[in-house]
Amino acid sequence: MMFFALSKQAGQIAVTNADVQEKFPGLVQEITSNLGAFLPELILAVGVMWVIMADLFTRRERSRRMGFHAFAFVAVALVSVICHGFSGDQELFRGMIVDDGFGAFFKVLLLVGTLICIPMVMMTRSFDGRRMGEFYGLLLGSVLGMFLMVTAKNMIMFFLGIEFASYTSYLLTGYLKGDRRGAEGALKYVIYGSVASGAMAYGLSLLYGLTGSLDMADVAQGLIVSRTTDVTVLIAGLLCFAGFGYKIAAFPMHFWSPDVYEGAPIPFTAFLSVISKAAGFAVLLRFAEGMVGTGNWELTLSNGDVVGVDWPLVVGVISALTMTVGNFAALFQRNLKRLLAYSSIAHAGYLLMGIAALAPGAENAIPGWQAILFYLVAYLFMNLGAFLVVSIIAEKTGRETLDAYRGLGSRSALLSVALGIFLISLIGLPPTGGFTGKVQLIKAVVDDGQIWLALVAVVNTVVSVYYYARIIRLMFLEESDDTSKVPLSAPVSAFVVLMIVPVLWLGVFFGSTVDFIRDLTLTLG
Amino acid sequence: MLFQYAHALIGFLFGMLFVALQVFLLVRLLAPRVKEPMKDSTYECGEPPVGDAWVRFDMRFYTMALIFIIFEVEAVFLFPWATVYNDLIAGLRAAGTGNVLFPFIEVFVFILVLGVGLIYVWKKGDMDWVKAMRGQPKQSWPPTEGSTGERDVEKDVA
Amino acid sequence: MLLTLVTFIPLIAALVVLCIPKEQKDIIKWTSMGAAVVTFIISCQLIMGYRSGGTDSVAEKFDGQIQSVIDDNVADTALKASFQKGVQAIEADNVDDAVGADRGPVHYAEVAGIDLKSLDAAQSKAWHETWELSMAKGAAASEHIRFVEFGHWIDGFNIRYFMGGDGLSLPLIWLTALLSVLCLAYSWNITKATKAYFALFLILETGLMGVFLALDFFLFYVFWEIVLLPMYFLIGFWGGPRRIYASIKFFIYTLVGSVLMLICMLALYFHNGFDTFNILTLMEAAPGFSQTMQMWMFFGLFIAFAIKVPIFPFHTWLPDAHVQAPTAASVILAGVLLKMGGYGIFRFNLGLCPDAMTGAIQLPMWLGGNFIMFMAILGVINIVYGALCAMAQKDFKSMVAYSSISHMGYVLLGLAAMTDAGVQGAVLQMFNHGLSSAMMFLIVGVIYERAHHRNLNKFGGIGAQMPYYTGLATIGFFASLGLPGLNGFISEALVFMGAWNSHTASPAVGVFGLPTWIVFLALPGIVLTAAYILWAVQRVFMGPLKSETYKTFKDLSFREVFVLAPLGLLCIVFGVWPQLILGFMNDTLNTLVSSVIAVAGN
Repeated sequence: MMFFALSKQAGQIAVTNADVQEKFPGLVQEITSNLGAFLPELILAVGVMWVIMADLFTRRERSRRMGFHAFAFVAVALVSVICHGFSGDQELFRGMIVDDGFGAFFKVLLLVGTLICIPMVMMTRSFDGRRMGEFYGLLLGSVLGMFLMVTAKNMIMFFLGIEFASYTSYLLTGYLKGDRRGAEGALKYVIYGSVASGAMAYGLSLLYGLTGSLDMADVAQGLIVSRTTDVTVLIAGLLCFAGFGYKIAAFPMHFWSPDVYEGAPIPFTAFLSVISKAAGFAVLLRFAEGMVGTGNWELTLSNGDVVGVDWPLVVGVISALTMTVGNFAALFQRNLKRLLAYSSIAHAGYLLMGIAALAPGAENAIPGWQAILFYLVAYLFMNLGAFLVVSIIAEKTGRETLDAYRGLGSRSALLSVALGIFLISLIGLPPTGGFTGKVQLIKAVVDDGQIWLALVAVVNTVVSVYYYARIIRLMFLEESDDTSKVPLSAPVSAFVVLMIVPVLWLGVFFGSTVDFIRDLTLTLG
Repeated sequence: MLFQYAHALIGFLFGMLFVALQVFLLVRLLAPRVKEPMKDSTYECGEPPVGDAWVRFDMRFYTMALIFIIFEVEAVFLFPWATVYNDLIAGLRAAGTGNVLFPFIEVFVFILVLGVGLIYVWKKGDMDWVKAMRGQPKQSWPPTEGSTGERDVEKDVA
Repeated sequence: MLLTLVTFIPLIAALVVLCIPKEQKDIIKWTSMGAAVVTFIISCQLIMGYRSGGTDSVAEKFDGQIQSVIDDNVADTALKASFQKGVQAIEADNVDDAVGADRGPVHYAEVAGIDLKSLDAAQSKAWHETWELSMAKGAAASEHIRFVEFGHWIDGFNIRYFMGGDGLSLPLIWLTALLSVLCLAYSWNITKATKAYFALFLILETGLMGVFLALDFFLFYVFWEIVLLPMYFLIGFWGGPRRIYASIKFFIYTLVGSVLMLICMLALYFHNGFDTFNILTLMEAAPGFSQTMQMWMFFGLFIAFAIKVPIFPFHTWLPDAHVQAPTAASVILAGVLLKMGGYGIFRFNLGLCPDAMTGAIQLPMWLGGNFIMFMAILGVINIVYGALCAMAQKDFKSMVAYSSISHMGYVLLGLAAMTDAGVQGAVLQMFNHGLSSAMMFLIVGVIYERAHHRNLNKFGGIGAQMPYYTGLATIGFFASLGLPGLNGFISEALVFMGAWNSHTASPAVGVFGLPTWIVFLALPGIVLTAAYILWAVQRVFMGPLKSETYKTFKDLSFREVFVLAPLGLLCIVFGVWPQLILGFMNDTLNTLVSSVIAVAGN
């Protein structure tokens, strides 16, 4: 189906040499002028090649230093994104991708997350004695793929972006050769991933068939015309959602995530649970926002007639199921990585609330997407922070199970207080970013009139307390036989503190972030 | 009218005829006949299909196939580029905007990226059929007598 | 400024304490104590200042704030004039108690002739704030709120740093500050993780102060949650053998309530395009809420607060938490945390759901028919059931814990009466229970420290061994029992008077009156209370010494006297001269009741 679509397009562009001579200069100009906005991607692409190449000519013992190289490239890319600004509003490369504030925001989010993950990788001892150039190369490649995801406007482009990000993720999951759990996770990831991609490709091709375009804006526009074929639209939408849902680990596409999270090296688990998820949400949001913009999202007309598919309800149900499944499964986990995997499924559920509430209701209300963006910022810091502590503990004790946290409060005050703060933020209690973020999400659904979803969310919050508080309890309220102090070097301590600050900042002074998100541009064409 | 598709039907029939002719007739007439046990094996490339179908066979076939694809893709993109190259240059000259070297730089970057891949596999030793084991000198192919190269292949097949 | 000080001095002290090396236990203790004492002194000043302050100063403060909002954002004189016109219209409606009228910002913009669409972002924000403050001014005046503090926190969501104190909150502030000082003194011999203990205690105090003073719903919610964590750790780390179970149970129960409150908070925010968390503004607009809205709000908020009070059937966390908590935490838990629930019911349920409080909203018969009966029945269950449970306890502390459930039932019954006497009694009961239950928990703590058990049946003859202790303990117990001359008597008597009077007084003003049989149902509670307290006193203090080890018990130390004596004294003072505290609350409480009655009148 996909190839059909492609070849059909190719068929339309029948070039003669005269055409080439006439059209090419304009094309060149367009491409060169667009390259400026594409600079961060180019930097990352060069970074990918550089890290891989440089590693080849470095001795094995020094291969760890590739982390610094990768870090530098990501940092430069971050600077270039920020310098480019958040007010872009144009299509690049003939509408393949766009340059807008929304995309730039996500790029910053992805890069900051990667900047946090890279030192975590460098601290991980299980990578000792391995060549790390490929790891960083794949990591940067994955980020590059996500860049294309978050800025894609053409369905081909974001399909490619998703595939790019996914393939690199498969490899990184199984990076530790000989690690059975890693191999198992990677295999499951590949199988689920290809099923999801296949389903999504089918869904996209259905949309193409319905509307005759691959451009998201055109598709959304075209669906208005084809409203009569509701069932097809529903099926196409659900099939596409299979792809997005797999990326964000939403029910029922979440089955891969616990095994993958458990099997992957901890820093990469952190990367998957936050950065990959954020990119997935970016695509989903852009896709859904296009539908909202053309009025394909809302259900009822003023006379009460039902028109089209009730997307808020569909997404709302998925959201409710996702958070419930995630939270209840997390209740019984003994492995902290696995627990956090399930908890991140639950958080995907919370975030989906924002999508369910996309249709703006009352004036001055926050549209769901602003709530999602804010929550993602908070989630970035709190979840990566939690994983940071988990990885430090795993390095020091060699264990990832909950037992390793018994009596941590007396063994390392900083680590336990930090993890405590991150967990409180994950629960959603003030004064942390998790609280303000969750309030905004719940606010969005309440404003949209979906009180039931808000109730499901708060019930889930209560359920989640049980397992999060169990970790807090283990750390502070129980005593362990092992009372040796956990030694921390100064840079690592500073790193941990650096992660706490934004979590608390977002909990108390979140106004500026909200205003910033509100002013972002969103180009839908 | 269906009739306008007649030429497609004719082409189709002709194709069928041609393939049948080639496979069954021409081959029988032209091909040399060598009676050899190897010729009866399923894969003449050297993998004896003996025993269970679930054998592990050499990873290096994959590596080779992947390296092959690098150049395959390169060729796929370079041929069309080469056919219009003169037109591109002419167009740019005529318009007077943009760098005349643009088409060249574009393809150069493309080749450079593929080149990185080539350097990578080369440096990793994947171009050699017999990979150097850690701490062992590189083997040449075909293996000289008493070398370890032979053993590796045998073991992998079994 | 005083309110900010009283709220944040403990927090700052907590941060200072965290910076002190943990070996310097004395410095930690004295720093904490110093902060608590300063807070107490300021709270005394608040109390004194409240009685002498006039209403006008607050009105002026509001006017000044409104004026500065308009001046800062609106340059155009014509627009300024229409803003002023809007303010006047709102104030006219405030006085009128315009029940049922649309009191949203859009409505008043129309009245004042402001075209909202033509305003720029800053101006429409300014109009919204003008509306919010003008509305709040009305409620502030009728609630007799003083010491207001304005500040912007998160402009994007109209979240303000808005604090104020009135006759309802300031006594509780004073109680909190007092109990904090006493509890810190009592905790002087904590050796396990001293630093963390004192820091958590101070954070807890900040949370409690904030809950009582916040007049912005969001701010209130934040403080409400801040209370949760220190208490969780205090129970979970310094508590008894089953502390972990108890602490998680406390945590989860309370969180269920607070998330319900969150939903209500957001629903109120979006109601009618108000977009405000200002409690006073919402209260001023509350008579216009639809009955369905009020019903759901009442349920949501009531359950949230009922869990904290705790009201049957949400009470099961309380015995566990109290019994397992360390003494000082129990004191704060019983003395102040339970009052958060009571305070919430008075501030929110009464203020935001007037139709529910007049009994105008119909409920199914199995829920009592209307909200007044609903609350009264729950109150009676609390009184009688709590007392019966207390009587059945063998554990001294758990008896005291159940007695709290019983005593908080009076609060509910008094509120349900909706008469002046009943409501005054209810609030006074909260205050008195804060004193007497705190004292009882301290008494239990003192004996537990010596005997290392709390089994009532194993005590005996302590009276002869520790006469001073027994003397002070008796005051506490009898205050709790409701002996005339001690504070408990006054509040219980007022509650019963109010409830008895309800069926004649309330219907006259259009409010549902409690039937007399409700009062009769509650009366056995008094007898049962007397029974379990006297029985406990008999078992602990009378009779022969049951164990040789009791002979080694020393009487109260100076520190313990320092903690117990003030409470005992206050029990007597407020028992003899209740007007001291009642006069203080009267203004606020009477207007609370009359504002509900005004709704019924319409």
